[in-house]
Amino acid sequence: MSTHLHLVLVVLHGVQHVDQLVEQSQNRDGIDWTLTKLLQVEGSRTRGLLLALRVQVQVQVRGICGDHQVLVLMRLGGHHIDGGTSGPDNWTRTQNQNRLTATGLTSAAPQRVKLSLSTLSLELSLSTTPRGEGVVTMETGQEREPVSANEVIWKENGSFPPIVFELELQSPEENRPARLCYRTPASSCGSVLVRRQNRLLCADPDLIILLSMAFITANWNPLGDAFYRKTELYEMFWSLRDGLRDSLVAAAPYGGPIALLREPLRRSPSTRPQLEIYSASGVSIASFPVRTRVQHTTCPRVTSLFPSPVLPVFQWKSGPVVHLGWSVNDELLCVQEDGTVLIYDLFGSFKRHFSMGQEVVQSQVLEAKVFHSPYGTGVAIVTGSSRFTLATNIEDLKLRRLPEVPGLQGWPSCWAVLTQDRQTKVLVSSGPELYVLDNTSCTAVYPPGLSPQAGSIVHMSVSFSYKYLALFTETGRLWTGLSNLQERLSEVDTKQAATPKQMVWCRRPRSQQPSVVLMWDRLLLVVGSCNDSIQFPLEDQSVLVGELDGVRVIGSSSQELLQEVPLVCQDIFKIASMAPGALLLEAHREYEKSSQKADEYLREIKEQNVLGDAVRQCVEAAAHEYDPDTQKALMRAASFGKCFLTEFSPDQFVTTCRELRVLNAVRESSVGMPLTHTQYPALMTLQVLIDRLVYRQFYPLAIEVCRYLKIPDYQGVSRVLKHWASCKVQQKDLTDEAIARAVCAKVGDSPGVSYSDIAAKAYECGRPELAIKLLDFEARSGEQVPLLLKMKRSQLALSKAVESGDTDLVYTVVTYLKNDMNRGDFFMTLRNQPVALSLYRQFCKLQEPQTLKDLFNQDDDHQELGNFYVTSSYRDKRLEGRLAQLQSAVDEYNKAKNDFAAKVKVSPVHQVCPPGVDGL
Amino acid sequence: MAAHLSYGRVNLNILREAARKELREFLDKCAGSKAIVWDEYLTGPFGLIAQYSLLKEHEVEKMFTLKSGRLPSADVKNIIFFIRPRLELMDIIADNIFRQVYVDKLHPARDFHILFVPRRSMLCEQRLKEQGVLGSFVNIDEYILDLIPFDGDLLSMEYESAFRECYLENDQTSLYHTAKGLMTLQALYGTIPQIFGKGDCARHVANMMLRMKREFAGTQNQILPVFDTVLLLDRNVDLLTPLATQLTYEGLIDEIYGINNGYVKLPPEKFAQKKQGEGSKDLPTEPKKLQLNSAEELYAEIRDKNFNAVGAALSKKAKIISAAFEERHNAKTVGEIKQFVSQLPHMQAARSSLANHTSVAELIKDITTSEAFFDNLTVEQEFMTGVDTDKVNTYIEDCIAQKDPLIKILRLVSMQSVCNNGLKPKVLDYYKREILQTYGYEHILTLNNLEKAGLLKPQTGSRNNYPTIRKTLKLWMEDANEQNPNDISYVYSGYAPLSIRLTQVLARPGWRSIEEVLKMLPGPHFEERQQLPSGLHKKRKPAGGKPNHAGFLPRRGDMEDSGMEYIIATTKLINGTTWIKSLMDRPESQIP
Repeated sequence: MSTHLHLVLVVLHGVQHVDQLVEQSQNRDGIDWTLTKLLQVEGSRTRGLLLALRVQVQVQVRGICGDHQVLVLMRLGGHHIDGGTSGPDNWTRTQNQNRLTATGLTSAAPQRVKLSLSTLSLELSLSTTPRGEGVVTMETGQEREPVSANEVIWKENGSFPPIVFELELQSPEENRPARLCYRTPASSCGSVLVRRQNRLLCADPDLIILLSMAFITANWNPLGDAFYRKTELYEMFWSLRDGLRDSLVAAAPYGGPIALLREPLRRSPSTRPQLEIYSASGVSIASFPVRTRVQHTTCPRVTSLFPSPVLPVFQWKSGPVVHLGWSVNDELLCVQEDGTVLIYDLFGSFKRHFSMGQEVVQSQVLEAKVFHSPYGTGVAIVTGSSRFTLATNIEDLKLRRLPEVPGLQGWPSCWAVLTQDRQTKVLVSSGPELYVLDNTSCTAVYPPGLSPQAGSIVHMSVSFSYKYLALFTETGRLWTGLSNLQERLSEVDTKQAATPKQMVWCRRPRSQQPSVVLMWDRLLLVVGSCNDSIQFPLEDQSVLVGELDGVRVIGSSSQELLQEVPLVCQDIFKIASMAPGALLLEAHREYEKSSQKADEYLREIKEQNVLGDAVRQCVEAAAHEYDPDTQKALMRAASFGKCFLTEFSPDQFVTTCRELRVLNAVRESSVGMPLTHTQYPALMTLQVLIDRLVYRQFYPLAIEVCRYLKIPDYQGVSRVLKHWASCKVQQKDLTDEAIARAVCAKVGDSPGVSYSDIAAKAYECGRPELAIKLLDFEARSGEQVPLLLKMKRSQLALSKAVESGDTDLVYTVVTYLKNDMNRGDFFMTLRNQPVALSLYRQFCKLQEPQTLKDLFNQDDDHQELGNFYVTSSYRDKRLEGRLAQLQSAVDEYNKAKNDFAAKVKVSPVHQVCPPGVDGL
Repeated sequence: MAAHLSYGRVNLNILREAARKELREFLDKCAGSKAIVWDEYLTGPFGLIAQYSLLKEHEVEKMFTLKSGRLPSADVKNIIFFIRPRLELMDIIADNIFRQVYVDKLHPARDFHILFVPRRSMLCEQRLKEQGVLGSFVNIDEYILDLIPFDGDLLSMEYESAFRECYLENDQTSLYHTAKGLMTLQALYGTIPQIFGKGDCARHVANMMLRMKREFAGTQNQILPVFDTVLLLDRNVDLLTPLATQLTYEGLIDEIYGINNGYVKLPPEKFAQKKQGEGSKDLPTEPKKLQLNSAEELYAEIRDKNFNAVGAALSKKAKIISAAFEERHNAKTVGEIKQFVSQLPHMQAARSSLANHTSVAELIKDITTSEAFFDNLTVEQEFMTGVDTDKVNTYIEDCIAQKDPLIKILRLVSMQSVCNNGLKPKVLDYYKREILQTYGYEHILTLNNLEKAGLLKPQTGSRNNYPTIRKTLKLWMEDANEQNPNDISYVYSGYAPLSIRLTQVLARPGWRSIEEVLKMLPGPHFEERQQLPSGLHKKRKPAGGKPNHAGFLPRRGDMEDSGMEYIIATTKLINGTTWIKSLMDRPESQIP
């Protein structure tokens, strides 16, 4: 009996080369295995201690049967591990799932780990059931005092949950080694991880495990009375050769896409700068060299959709790109040195361009900024002649040249765009002065309370809501206040002389401790208004993206979200918190362990009568957590608490579950939209979210989201299908037949999908045959008509209009035909459509009696002609005319073989003198 | 105020409210003070949806009737045209606007809006464009007013030319609107699972409904169906009924004075306020306008009674009311008096209602007891029972000779033709000649129209099948009980309307039993089923007859015995007179 297994080993050692993975057969417990194939190796080196390596191998295992759990031991040969000693025997035991769950070895000796950090947390996990009874103890190195509650006793065959130790070292001096030891009985197996700020610093050399639920407060940093945390969002998919150095980077807020332009200022024609577009998780969406015609190169998904993209005819003029930015509609704006702004869509297709004014061509753009205001997306530039030009909405382009800034020559030291009182202004610092520029005037302003010795302002930043302003001066002082410059919040000395590379506000709605994040080459500094600050070392070049509720830090290898910990999360997770939610979470943990303590905790909550609050807190905190396991733990606790409440509305719980599920799905790194729960409802309505998914062509996900949230079909699934189909018809490599079939199979008769819209798209792409095929599926005949008319299929349009029963539509087509065809053809066409003909007759009867006569004549309808003459005879005021008309009527009646009408004898009085004739 | 709409099991007030909401939304779209220019024809139907007070709440300050020339001056921000999509009306609007813009040159900023009822039309917009005024309109909108609730069980589209358009002009616009109206009904009251129908137009409407259903799939809301059957009937299936003189109270009011949009105008003499001591010195000259619907308790009770039974009902009611007033003598204690006083307003209303209807009944009685009425009725009944329908009728001859109103003649001749399945060519030509010679040659067009519509026709080879239909469907009941009716035939004192019989048979035992007769009637008969949204398969209420071009049929009470409740929807409420009128052509009045 043999079977193939796929194993994924997640190795956190400093394995240098994968080929060190030793292939070895081992016979243990009657299982034989051979490594047959090394499938895939992924790894990335983060500067420091660890190399995270993911190895996927295929092994052949012999000698097992049934669903017996297979444990395979693999040896990773002689490699080096920082900060620890490695024994000769390193075994990693894995299970046949994608998760590495268990490790274990025989080592009984206390392991020693050298640490040089101030706040530590340790996790000890024993994942196989230890044999026999035993005790785990832990000691901190110097004091040699066991940490309280760190003694865990297990019984034989009892399950063993992860034990978490939290240590606060008494003298947190840097670089001073502390030592931690743990001891397990010889027979157990376990592992220890040492974390600081959610970074795995060191792992027990033999035992490696990834615990899904990270130690939550480990990455919390106090700032004033609040905490800030930095959560890793993604390990970036991209592999950038030179990191983000020498690149222009633009990342859209709300987890939008990232555009990257390498070496924008390189002018040599041989190596053109490359413009690349990535999703927020670093998945390449498009990439093309600028300054030539745009081509799609990399992404296979895109190329399959657009095999031969429509090449923009626009010739890139001279002048490299100065600035990149994203519009609210996920369009990329490239501001060129000569003031031309090129607009590309998410997939790098050129859409249109506009210019920031003629004078810019001469003076060149020095700097540009893309900003968002209530009116849409705007662009602001400063030219070589130190003049500012603004366009507040690129959809409705109106250029505004702002007045001159007195004394400003060349580059302003810094500037920012403000939106205030429904007006867009520019705040500019020129030497020691600070000016506000609006449409008409340039006013010098003074930030209230800025120390006189602070010096001139070298960097400034406006908050996401345009409400707050931060100014950084040349002496390293940071002033924060309201953006209308009416009030100062704080002034802090950062003790940093250099001008920060980037400065971004970091706040959240109902922020306790808003802060400003400043970035230098190697340092990230979070400065709160309370004079407190947090320092993070930066390992590589990064970019800060201001969000509604935090700051995203995009580095070349990973992306993190830096944000203030929401109050509710603080309440629950803060060490020794007695908040109702915290107690409930603890109660649930105990309950899972089948411990009677669960009841004690619950009682405590119930005595204070705050169980409802506890549930609400857990649900709310779950919404704010990024890690699905933490979310689950909190939701389970909430659900557990809910059981003890009678009249509690489940709405919040249910909605949060739904929202989290959707958010987790879009956060998935393949999708790459790291939206937080605060961002999701605030500005992203569900509709927008689906639109964004559709725009990125994640059709299946969008449909799943619609179905899951039970959005009515015509707003949800149908809309997605419509977009999908519109995209599908552009695929040039498929035949009309194939596309029509594919579209029909998927769309079927989904309600609300308009085949005529799809057909119109096909027609736009120059595929009229496909358009007609698609139109056939359209249920609403009325909808087909306008397109058919546009495609000059007037006969078909007429019959469809008749089919729809909408007479107004028939009239429309008839009027169109009348103007479009010569009279003979027009009449012939009508003859084939009796409904249309009779409508046209009606129309003629009222509007064009002569045409009516012609129509009857053409059809040899003598009866109607007779009637026609009778009618017109009564309108004739002259007796002779009247008689002539009646004579014609008699002739026609005769032709119609209507003897009665022709020959009826009417008394002369009535014949000649019907009422109302003058003169008789 | 629209309480009479919610009496039945189907609350038609929902429909009215939906229409009102839409109207409000449109009015709010035009900010500021407004003047409305009315297409005169629309004022009647709109009165059933919204009173002036509603318009006033939305800043409507002035209302005018559409006519060419200058608009009356009004100091308002918006001028709104409420208009039917007719080309000739577009020209008037264009004229209005040109003059108004000329006047407004000095103080501009007046907004024009146009609201098409019931649908906007590209043709009309095109015409406005040709006239160069399309750009003057800030809003061009449509107000979908298909089925207007008239009463708790009656909906009408008030589409006056529907029959003419369908049968004479082959214009199916009205059918499209009917289908749309039924879709609106389904949107509010749930999908109607069963569709039955008889006639070409009915078939066409059903087809359109089924197609629209597909088109709107997905947008339908999940409503438990209120109706479970819709029956579509062409008017030409039952040509006879509207020709016959109605004999119920309401029917007679309509026959004699004409009910328009729920109102009737009556000669004022009988309604003079007899104040004490004054006598009847100053007779009002304005016609008395009376609203007629089931909101009035007494009217609801007697409207569908055969007129012969109305007198008894009125006198009974009079006794009850006077007895109620007499109670005051028995009221001894303060409590009793208080109770009596609290009932006073209701009793007074009942008394004035009784006074009104007594007067109306007197007016009608004067006519029904006249010899002319009796003779006319006798001839009608002879035709319906099939007596001498193949010969020239002497009464008709006399009437022509006396130059009685032409419509009366046409009604009778048409009736004879329908009851005889066409007239012998000789007889037909005789009537035609007589009519032309007496009333003028121009009426040849009208006669032509009647022939086209099938009301007059020469008998062709086939046998007269009217007697078969009459017998199978029991169209004539000898012993109609007018006082305590047990069969629908009481409404015509013997004749049971064909369309009602079809409806009754459909309910029990089903149309399969009368296949033969159905084949004799024109047009196909059919049955369709509509898929309900899942989870809504519960059986609710049987209901919903829908004569496509219904005469105003007396229909209540009698039908409820079968446990069904019917809602009637029609393109237009007609009687024989208005119907024939709509088919007449008067060449001299047709100036384009």
